[in-house]
Amino acid sequence: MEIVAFCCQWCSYAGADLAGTSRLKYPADIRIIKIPCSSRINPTFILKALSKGVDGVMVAGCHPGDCHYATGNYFTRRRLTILKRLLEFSGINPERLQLYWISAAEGGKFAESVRDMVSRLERLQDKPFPRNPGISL
Amino acid sequence: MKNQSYVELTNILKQKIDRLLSEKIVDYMIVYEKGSLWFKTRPKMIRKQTDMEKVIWNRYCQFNLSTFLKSLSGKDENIGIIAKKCDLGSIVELIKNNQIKKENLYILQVACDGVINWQKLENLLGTKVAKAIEVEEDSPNLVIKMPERNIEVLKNDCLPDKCLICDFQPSPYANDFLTIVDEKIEDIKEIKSQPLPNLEPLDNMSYEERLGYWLKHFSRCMRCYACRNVCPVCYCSTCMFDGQEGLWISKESKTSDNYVYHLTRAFHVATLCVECGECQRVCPVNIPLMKLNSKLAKEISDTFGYQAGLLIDDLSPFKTYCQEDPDEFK
Repeated sequence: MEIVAFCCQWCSYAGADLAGTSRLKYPADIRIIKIPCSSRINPTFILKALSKGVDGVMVAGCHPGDCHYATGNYFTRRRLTILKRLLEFSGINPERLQLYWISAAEGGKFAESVRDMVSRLERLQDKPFPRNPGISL
Repeated sequence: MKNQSYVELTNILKQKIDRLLSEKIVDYMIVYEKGSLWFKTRPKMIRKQTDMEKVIWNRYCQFNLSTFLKSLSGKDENIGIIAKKCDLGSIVELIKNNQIKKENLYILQVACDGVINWQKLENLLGTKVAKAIEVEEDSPNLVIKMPERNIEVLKNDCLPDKCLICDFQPSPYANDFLTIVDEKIEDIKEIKSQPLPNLEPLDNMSYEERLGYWLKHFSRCMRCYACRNVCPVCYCSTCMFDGQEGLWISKESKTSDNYVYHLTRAFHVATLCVECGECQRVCPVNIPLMKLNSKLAKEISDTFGYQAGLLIDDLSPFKTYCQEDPDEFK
């Protein structure tokens, strides 16, 4: 299974770091991409990842109200709510896109979120976007 | 409206434009002129009163002239534009997003009771519209005068979807509203009683069927970008799909990349789209793009209670936030 995880550099990326230094176990299916803020996410990032055939996209940002840039994640929340509806309409199970709020002190929640994501994806019956052979992420 | 009403309206329109140009209220007018065939129209910018003869207004003026406003933003000229009720929405969006100044714009709204999509008419007739001589309205039908006989079709079957849900009323943002008779009021009732076009037959499909449906359509896309270029509210000066460096998707027409392109395009104009239907009209391979746009507009209206193109002072939901927004994430 392949999951692309976009982590905001102030909270979730540090949370992932903490999960690592705390030696917490989580599935090795994710590829983390560091972004300045969860609102840096352009829908194209997610659509492109899904169109290349990944099983899921996970976006992680600071808790609402705790954004390093004060309000960035409120905008993310609005956009991804609508993007999920668009994905659903155009044939991708909206479960394949998840947004988690993970603070820098929540290494445990990061590991838990990855496990949650993987278990959600394992339950899905529908196939993801056809995978082009020979294309690496 | 009868053909005679259109002739009268065109005459009033010409007088009005003549006054606007001679009094220097506008530097130029964006109008419709006759196209290559009798049922086609094309845009025309007129600066001189001598060009006035070319101005027309008829039931074939289906496209949205406000598309041409987006390339004119930043120039300090006063522009006049002919607008139907549906075009006013996209003009409001352009003003709202600072693409054009309201004080530089003179909006001339013309009475309209639905424009004809000649492609639909052609499908209905099963023959080329060019073979017909004239079209006359005999409400609620249209009489197509062919050389050998007359054919009657229901007018609503030839209208673009946007006309079926339009109220044709004057907009508060128009500087002037041109109309001639009161016959319009009855027409409005007839059209309002029609059922809305079925925009989402996809509801009963599974995810795989839906994906298959869209991939089948997107596999035809040749990435001509007509849907992007014609869109009146798709106004970025440099499009993210045009750059030579940092390509998000390849330039070739590949089905998976077309999928990314079309969904991104729909999402970028999600809060701006006034459902004028231009993207779908210009698509050379008939991709049902309006389904994506309508779906997004519906979701945005359901979630944030926002409808594009109504009020200049409304703030786009993606430019603001609320702490109490629905949070389905953890």
